[in-house]
Amino acid sequence: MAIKIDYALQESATNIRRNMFITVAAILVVGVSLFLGGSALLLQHATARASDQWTSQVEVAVFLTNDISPDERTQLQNDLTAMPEVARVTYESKAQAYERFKRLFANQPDIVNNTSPDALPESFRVKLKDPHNFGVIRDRLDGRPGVYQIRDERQTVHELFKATETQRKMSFWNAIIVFIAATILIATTIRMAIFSRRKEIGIMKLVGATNWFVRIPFMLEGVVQGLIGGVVAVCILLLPPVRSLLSSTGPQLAFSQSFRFQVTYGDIILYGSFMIAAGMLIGVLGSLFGLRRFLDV
Amino acid sequence: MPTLSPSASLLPIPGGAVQIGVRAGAHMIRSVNITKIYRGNVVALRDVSIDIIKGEFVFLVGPSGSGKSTMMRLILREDQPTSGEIYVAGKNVAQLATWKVPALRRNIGCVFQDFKLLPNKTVFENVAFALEVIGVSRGVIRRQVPEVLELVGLGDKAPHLPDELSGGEQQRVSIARAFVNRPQILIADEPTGNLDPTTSIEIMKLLDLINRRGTTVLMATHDHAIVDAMRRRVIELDKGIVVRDQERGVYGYGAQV
Repeated sequence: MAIKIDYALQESATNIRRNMFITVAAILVVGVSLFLGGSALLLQHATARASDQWTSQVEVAVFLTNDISPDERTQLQNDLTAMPEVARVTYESKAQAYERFKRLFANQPDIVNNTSPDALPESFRVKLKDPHNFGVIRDRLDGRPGVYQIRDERQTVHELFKATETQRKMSFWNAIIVFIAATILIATTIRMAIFSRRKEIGIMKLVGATNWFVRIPFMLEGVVQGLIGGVVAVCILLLPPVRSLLSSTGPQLAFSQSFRFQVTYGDIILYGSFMIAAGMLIGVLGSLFGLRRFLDV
Repeated sequence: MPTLSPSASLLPIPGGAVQIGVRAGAHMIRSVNITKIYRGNVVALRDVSIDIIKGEFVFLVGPSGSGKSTMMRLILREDQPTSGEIYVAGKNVAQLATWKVPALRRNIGCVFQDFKLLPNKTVFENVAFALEVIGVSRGVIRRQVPEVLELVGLGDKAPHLPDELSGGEQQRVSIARAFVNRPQILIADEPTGNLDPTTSIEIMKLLDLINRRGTTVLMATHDHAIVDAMRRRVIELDKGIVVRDQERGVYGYGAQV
């Protein structure tokens, strides 16, 4: 039997209007849950991207002792350049290091004032062809006169991401729980809508309405609630203050300004469409759960 | 196997394979040894066999708890018998697949004691609802609803809400709704239970009119006066057993010839 679309649409609209309060509640819960879930996924995505980018950009730092002679320094630079694993070597003088330091701690003048340019070591910044070869370089340079310390800054990045990983996993599971809660709430609103109309449904079934005929307006109602909830969540994410707040919860690297953790609008659009689809899925699931008990007559 | 009743055997049987259909053409409602036991060993119907022929008007009488309502529920497939078979409009309802139940119910109109009208829909909408639900087009609805409202004598009440009508008028609306898609069977469960005697007679005249148009009517009732006045077939149930099945009967044993 053909189910008339205009009938179904009209019924859903009437239902939503009649149960405005609970409908708004359901929409908000879907919105909030998708906002939380979506932010968790967005952070995950942005973090993975940042991790890739940063890891590919950071270098091995070879810090030099204060008493290194110009000859030793030239020799070291030549040796580094000659190594097959090395892609590029740049020298950073004490003055350059100090400049970078000043830029980094621009908002903490006390630290800058208490540090003399001399206190910062000069270094070679070594970019490896394959970042995994750090061990080889370290073994070769360790203990060499004039070398103070060799540090793989990739490691720093990794530790940084590891520190925020638990937090990200937690927020992801939170989102799953709220997702389930939203589904249950939609089921409840649908159930209430059905309850307030059970007489009507009883008559519908008595005069020979099929189950789908009864079901579809309610399902449509659930889908509309989920859809609006999804749009609400995306709209919240698109607010500039929310986006910058979200970006600020990501891992931040203190030593470089070029590595700013960012959730971009592109990310939000990408995950937003997914969130809206998820909202509609919540609506369908919720209404199916809500309807299950009422239709076996 | 139950024997064919005389009226059925008069019909030509076109082919062996469709025998059941032919028999059902004569037997609108036929139950064969149905027993219904509810949970907790409550026996609602015990070994009940009833034949109702197309075009008949049948009263189902008996005290509360005698199994009248259970019988109605089984016919509508709101419930299934514990054992036995029940054929309604040619279909074995006891074994009917769930998805076929809507099609069955489109052949059966229902009228209840409490009218079961939707309070927020007008008279017209209440009747139209029964057609909308089964996917009838707007044009047909616009034609058929006024027609049936005219038939039940409420042609001028179409735009009113149910609570603006008297009880008798509301019951007419519910009869209009039950009859609007011309079902083969009309089932009425205490349709005059909430109405005064004068109004009840009006309702019975209407049901009689519908019956004369070819619809088989099965009416469960407590109303002695009506049963005695109508002089139609009476099936009496007591504690789930058929204790009387009488052509042109009256309500009580006392009046039996």
